[in-house]
Amino acid sequence: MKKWIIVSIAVLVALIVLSVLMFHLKQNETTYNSPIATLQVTPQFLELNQTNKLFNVSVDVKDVVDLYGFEFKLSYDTGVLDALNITEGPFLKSGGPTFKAKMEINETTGTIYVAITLYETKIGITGSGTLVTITFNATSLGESRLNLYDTILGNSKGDPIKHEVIDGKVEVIPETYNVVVLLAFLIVSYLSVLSYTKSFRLLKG
Amino acid sequence: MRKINAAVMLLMALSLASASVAAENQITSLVFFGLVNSYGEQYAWGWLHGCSKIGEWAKVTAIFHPEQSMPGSPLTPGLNESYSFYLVRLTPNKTAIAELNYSDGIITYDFYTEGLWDIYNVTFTYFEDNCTKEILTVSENVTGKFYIFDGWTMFEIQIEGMDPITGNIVGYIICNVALPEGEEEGVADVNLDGSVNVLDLIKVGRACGTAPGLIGYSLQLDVNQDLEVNVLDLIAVATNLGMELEINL
Repeated sequence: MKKWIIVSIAVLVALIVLSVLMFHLKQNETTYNSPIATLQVTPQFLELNQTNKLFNVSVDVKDVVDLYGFEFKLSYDTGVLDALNITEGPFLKSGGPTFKAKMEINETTGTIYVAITLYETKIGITGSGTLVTITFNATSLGESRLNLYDTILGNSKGDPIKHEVIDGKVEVIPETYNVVVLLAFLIVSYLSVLSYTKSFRLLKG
Repeated sequence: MRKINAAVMLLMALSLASASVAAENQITSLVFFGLVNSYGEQYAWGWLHGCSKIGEWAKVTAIFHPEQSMPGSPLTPGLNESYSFYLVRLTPNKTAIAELNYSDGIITYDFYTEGLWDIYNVTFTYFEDNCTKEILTVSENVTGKFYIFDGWTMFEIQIEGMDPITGNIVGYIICNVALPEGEEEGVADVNLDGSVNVLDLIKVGRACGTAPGLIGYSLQLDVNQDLEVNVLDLIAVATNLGMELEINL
């Protein structure tokens, strides 16, 4: 009888400990899932099949609250890409006049430096949108990471906004590459169908 | 063995020499902001901004409106209303002393400077969208001193012929960066976090369109010290973006 009581108490204690643990885990999960602003290169992956082709990537912000100004640097491989132009996106300037403190391209180091802030307005912008659009020229075959660093998002109090950063990548592949891949696929498919038909006939015969 | 000893001695001598050269080249700069809260026996409302290359020069500016009924109560100017401010300034070329931990034999000040001050009277008239300012020189090259005391919390300006101007230090930074020496050039690191970045731009951007007397104005944000915060101050910060002030506390 005593044994049963001890076992019951042990089970009860175990259940309580388990439920407390579950509660904490759930809480942590909730914190982890709470939305955090993201600064990202869009698209995150871009494949180009020819050189000397102009293309745009944008630097976007997602789920930001009270954004008043931002600053970032973006590095790229000058052996693959040339940065040609930076234009301000619509997101921040929807909140009022903006001051473009930096819109710099350094083609020697492969660095883009952008810093823009609102001014003469009291509150920042909340939501998601495009901060800047950058025009590149794919000059050579290869791949280049579009690496965001030294990123700052600031709110209307001048305090930094916590955020995650997602980089981008561009691959410039030969124009014939896709044709070769397609041809190889077709040949392999044809051969597979051929062998399947042969074996089917053999089985039937 | 003797050779080794000689080599060690030589190395030590070289490292000592290089250390002393580095110490000589070391710049110690100070930047501080504060709020004026009294002028003699009267309450006052105003701002303080200063910076110094320790041992060489100091630049101190205070602008305040005396005769406030409450300490720290902001002005609330009505339309077409005028307020007059005292503007007192110590410029680098008129500095005699600028020292940290300076002792006059009785008290040790956290920072002390003295020199020849210029005094102005600035009258602002406020309109719906803007304000105008009129600056009159009261006197120039008047002997005076400024000091920070009480563990970097209080300051006092004593200028001959004026009541003492006192207040609180709001923020300060001691760093190893050469500061702009021009009379009306402020420091772009307006939030005193040791680096000039978009957060400083934001602080200035929010205060754009303000002047002494209007909510949001501060000498700290009026980077070029022209008594109004506008796009010129944003440019002053923008031109220093990326600057790091190596903090040396």
